[in-house]
Amino acid sequence: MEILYRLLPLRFALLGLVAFLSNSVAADELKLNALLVWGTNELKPEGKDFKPLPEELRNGLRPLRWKNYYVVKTEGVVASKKVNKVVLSERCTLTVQKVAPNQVETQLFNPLSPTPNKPVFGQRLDFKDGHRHAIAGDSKDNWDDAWAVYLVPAE
Amino acid sequence: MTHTNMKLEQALEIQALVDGQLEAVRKPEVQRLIQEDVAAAALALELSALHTVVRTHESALTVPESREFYWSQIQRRIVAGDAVATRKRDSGTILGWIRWLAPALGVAAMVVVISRALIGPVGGPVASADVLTFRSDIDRVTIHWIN
Repeated sequence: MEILYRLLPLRFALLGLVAFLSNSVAADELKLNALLVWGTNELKPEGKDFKPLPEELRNGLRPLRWKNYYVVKTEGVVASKKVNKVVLSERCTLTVQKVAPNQVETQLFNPLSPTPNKPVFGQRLDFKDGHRHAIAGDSKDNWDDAWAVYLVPAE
Repeated sequence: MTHTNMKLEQALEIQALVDGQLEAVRKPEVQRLIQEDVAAAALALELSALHTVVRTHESALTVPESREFYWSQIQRRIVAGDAVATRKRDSGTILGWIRWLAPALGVAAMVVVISRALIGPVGGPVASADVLTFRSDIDRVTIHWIN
């Protein structure tokens, strides 16, 4: 019993070290949700299970001209020191890498393009205070439609 | 002797005639003036006498140094003058470059500051130049539109 008391400071120290390390790991990571969004003036096509984009996120797309925004796919991705990749569609692959506090180097690739290794988008994005980013462009599949990759910090 | 009735130009022309500096075109008229006008004749006579006196009694000035030394000094002054002119031209060239570069550097500095201000809060290098960025702090979102 006495030896347990003697080891008590050591146990607290180990506990603190674990907490510190876990906190450091957490600080080196940023969890993001990547939403592949379809913007259109048409109604949702029959047989597709697309959900409307949540209103809060939809408000952020007010500068764009489309009436309806549907979430085609949602993927969670962790931005860490190493480059992490997530496939959102056959035309859209996302890579993220945390390069500084709240800063994520983000690249989008189109594997079906003639230059699949050349990013169609590449920027260091700042997610400070929950700031979001929507990377968008005209749809190559449907004329007058748009696509967007909405990057939202996970709660 | 006074020549109050004579114009200054006439007096100067008479003096020029006496000194042999008058234009050939003007000589007949000035000579006619001297023959017809008493005052003009008197002035011409007076100036001629003075001219003769000066020429006769003028003492010759001699340079104490030898001819070679005298000319070498002149040559040195000319060479020194050329060197100064070259230095001035060189410094003028440098100043000219600075005058040209100063506004360019100012513009470059402004471009750097503005681009840092625009790109800084959003992110770093742009892979594609055809990306338009719209930031809304109210909606906490930045839209990156790829053209």
